[in-house]
Order: sequence, then C-alpha cells, then structure tokens
Amino acid sequence: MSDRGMKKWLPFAALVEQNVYLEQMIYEKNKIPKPQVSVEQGRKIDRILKEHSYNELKFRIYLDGYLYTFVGKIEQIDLNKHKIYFKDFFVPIKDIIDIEDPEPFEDIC
Amino acid sequence: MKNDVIFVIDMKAFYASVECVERGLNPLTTKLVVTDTTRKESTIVLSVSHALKMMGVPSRCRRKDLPNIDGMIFAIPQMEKYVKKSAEIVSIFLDFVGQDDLHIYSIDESFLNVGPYLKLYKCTPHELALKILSTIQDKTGLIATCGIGPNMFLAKVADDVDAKTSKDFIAEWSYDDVKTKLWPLRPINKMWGVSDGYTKKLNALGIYSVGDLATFDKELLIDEFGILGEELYEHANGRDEANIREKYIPLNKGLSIGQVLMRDFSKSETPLIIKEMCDELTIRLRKINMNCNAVHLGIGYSSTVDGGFFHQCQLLTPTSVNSELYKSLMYLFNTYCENKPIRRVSISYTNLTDKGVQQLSLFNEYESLDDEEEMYKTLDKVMEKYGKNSISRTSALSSSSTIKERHNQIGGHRK
Repeated sequence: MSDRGMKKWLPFAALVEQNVYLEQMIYEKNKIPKPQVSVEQGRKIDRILKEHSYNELKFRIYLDGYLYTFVGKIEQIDLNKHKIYFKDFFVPIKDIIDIEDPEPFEDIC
Repeated sequence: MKNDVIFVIDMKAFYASVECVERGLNPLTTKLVVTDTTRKESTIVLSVSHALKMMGVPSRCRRKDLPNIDGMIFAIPQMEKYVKKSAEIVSIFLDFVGQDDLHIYSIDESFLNVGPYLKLYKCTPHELALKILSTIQDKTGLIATCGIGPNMFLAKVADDVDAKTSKDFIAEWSYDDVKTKLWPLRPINKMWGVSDGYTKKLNALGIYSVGDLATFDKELLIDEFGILGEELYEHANGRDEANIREKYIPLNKGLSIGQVLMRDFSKSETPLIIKEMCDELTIRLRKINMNCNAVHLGIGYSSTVDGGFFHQCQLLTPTSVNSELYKSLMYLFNTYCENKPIRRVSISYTNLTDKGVQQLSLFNEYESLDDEEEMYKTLDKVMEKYGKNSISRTSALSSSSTIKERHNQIGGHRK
C-alpha cells in the first residue's frame, strides 16, 4: 500500500514560536542532577591536577544540567576563586566530575 | 505497529480555557471569548469557551458576528502564555511516554502511542487515558478530551466525533467499531481528511456517507483522486499505516512571512514595511543556515480598489545578506507596484540551498558581503540574548513602522 505515512499528519505549523518554547521545555526537562563526587574521586582529581597540570587532560564537567567531555590544556589554576582557566574559558573546580588519568594506576602485585 | 494504541489528546477550547483558569473561573461553565478588543470589530475570535459553544456560538467567527449574550467576558489574547501552557502540557505527556512515541499535531493537540507502555503502567488504555487527563487537570486546571484507537486515523476520528459528548471525555474505538460508528458518519466531511471541496466531488459520485466511500470501487477512486483516493478508501475502512515513530521532517523548501496592515499604506511608505519584513525573515534564514536563490513579493491592495500581484525573481548568486535580498525585493516592488493604497504585504524566500558550497560570481565583492553577513550574525546574537526589541533600525521610530508592534506579537496576535 502506497500510504503517505506520517506525511499526512504533518502539523499545520502556523506558530513558528511554538517550537522555540517546546525546545526550551525539553532542554529543561532532560536536565539531570549533579552527580556526587566521591572522596576517592576527589582525591584522584586532586592528584591529577597536581601532577599533570601541564599536560593535555580529558575533563568531564557538569554544566547547567548536562554532562560534557572535553580535552584541554590548563593555563592557570586560581585557588582563591576556585576556578581552572583554559585558553578562552574557565571552569569552577566544583563542576569537574572526572579527569581521565594520563597514567592509569597499574596493580603492583 | 500491531500492538499500537494511539491516544489523541485535544484541549477543550484551549485559549478560552486558559483565560478562564487564570481568572479562577470554571472553564466548562464560564461564558468567555478570546478576541482583541483593541482592534476593529472585524477582528477574528480566537477561541470560544465550552459553555458558549453549547449555546450555539460558532467556534470560528469575527467579533461582529458574535451574538449578544449577557455576561459574556471578552479576553485579550496572550499568545505567549498559551504557547508556554502548551509546552507545559507536552511536558506532562513526556512524563508518561518517550519522545519517540509523541507527535505534536498542533498547539493543543498531540498523538501519543501508549501501546508499549501499558505493561509498565499495568492498566487498560481507558484507565491510562483517565490518568493522563486528570494529571492535566490537576496541574493546569484545563480540560482535555481523548480519542483512543488502534491507529492514528481512528483515534483522531474517535476524538473528533465521540470524545466531546462522552461522559469522561474519552472515546475508544477499535477495528470492530468501523462498521457501526465510522460508516454512519454523514455528511462525509465529518471524517478527518475530507475537505468541503472533496465533499462536493464525492457527492457527485454518489458518495454521501463514510460507508458509501468504504464500499465504493477502489480503482475508480484512484482514477478520480490519485494517491489521495486510495488514502480516502483506506481511511474509510479504518486503516492507517502511519507509524508515529517515523518522524517525517519536511525539507526546508522555503520561508515566508506576511502581514495585513492596520490601515492603508501609500506606495512611498511600503518599502519600509518590506525592509522590516525582509530583516525578520532573513534572521530565520540565517538560523537554519541556508542561502536563498529566489525571492517572492506579494502585494494586496486595499479593498476599495482590490487586486494585487505576486511576482518572483531569481538571484544571481545565493545569499543570506539582508541588503542583497532587500535590493531584489525592491526591484520587484518598483517594477510591478501601482500607485494604489496597500493593505497586505507578503514576502518569501525559496530555492534554499545549504551554505558552504556555492558557485562564485565574478561580479560580486565577496569581502564586503562577508563582512556584512558577519555584522548581521552579531545582531542576531544580540537579539537572541536580549530580546528582539533590544536593537532595531532607526526607521523603527517612524510612524509607519510596524516592527516593534510585531515583535510584541505571536502569530499576528498579542503576545
């Protein structure tokens, strides 16, 4: 059967603005709460920042309800403002969820 | 597809009900119409509340056609509020089903495929519909109707025909109801998808009810109406193969914008209107990251002289720069416009192509065009962040400008 399928149920898009508000609503709805950073995770982040702050690192950060991953090189760590500066933006230290370990810990035994 | 259970959920007198709830009144018993009382009396009535519809007030009419009823409340439209409310209701649907199983059909109407969720919620379709409707009423105070069917078409017709009169506003149709409930429908335009024009053509073939259509010769219908003939035949037999998960996204064929002016404009005032509409539409063009190859200009003269024209012109090179597009529109305007009072203006951009790849022309100065485009992109960003009235041409201050007013409107009605 040669049906037009979903084509015939195409909305009559008289209101262009409707989509703007729908997108906004879906963006708000899909937000997740900030993941907890465990004590060990915190120590790991602390250690990597101390030892490898001159390398390119892979960060996982939480921003406005969503998790993002990016690779970047730290320009400066401001301990007073609790911020990490990259080339053209900064990230508050509390928003860092994880950093990929450049030298994964190998079991010695 | 086999286990689909489709809901059509439709808000009862949506705009009017929102206004009732805002005033703390019962949307079912309040006599309220939504219409802009600051405009002339030939302005359209956007919505009529349930109680007035029961008294025989037509749901689509102009303000001057409204009958004189005591205690009728006039509400000025607040489009932004309605669109936000609509998003709120869609958000409730998304609490029940995933985004894939939802199809938004209009501002107050959505299709939901709840088939895959019935096991999860451990209830019958009817119980789930009740749950969704009562959630909507609890959260927004609005009343909705629901049509339930095994496919989108039957659900829609169930909603249109039965849901409004049934006691809990839910109508459930199955394939067994096709002969008893769908076939007796007459005149035939009560069935979804049959327009007044089709009704005439079908009547000429001796088809007056859905039952006549369902038992008519399929081949003859195809000869007469083409693909649509087959579709009508299948619909009349309660069949619809559309799968709600196969989202159909139309190609961006063109963008258009139009407005009916509040008074007659002279030929010398109109270029400003065209410029403002051109700006408005070009923002949308840049937003979808396309270039335009042809522009159309439509002008309608005032009712005292009648007539008008609609012409198009091809551009030499695709572009999304305001000044280039305005130049072509003005070419059309100067070539075809007569010295008559103007009431309607519409422009559209067609033959859209992706940005990125394009044939260069020897006659354009690309550097200055690129600079200009960069400037407009920056303006777009400012407007997106701080609102559309945050930055505008100086001409917006002149008396014939409509742009500020239009920015305070949605769909041509007050925001």
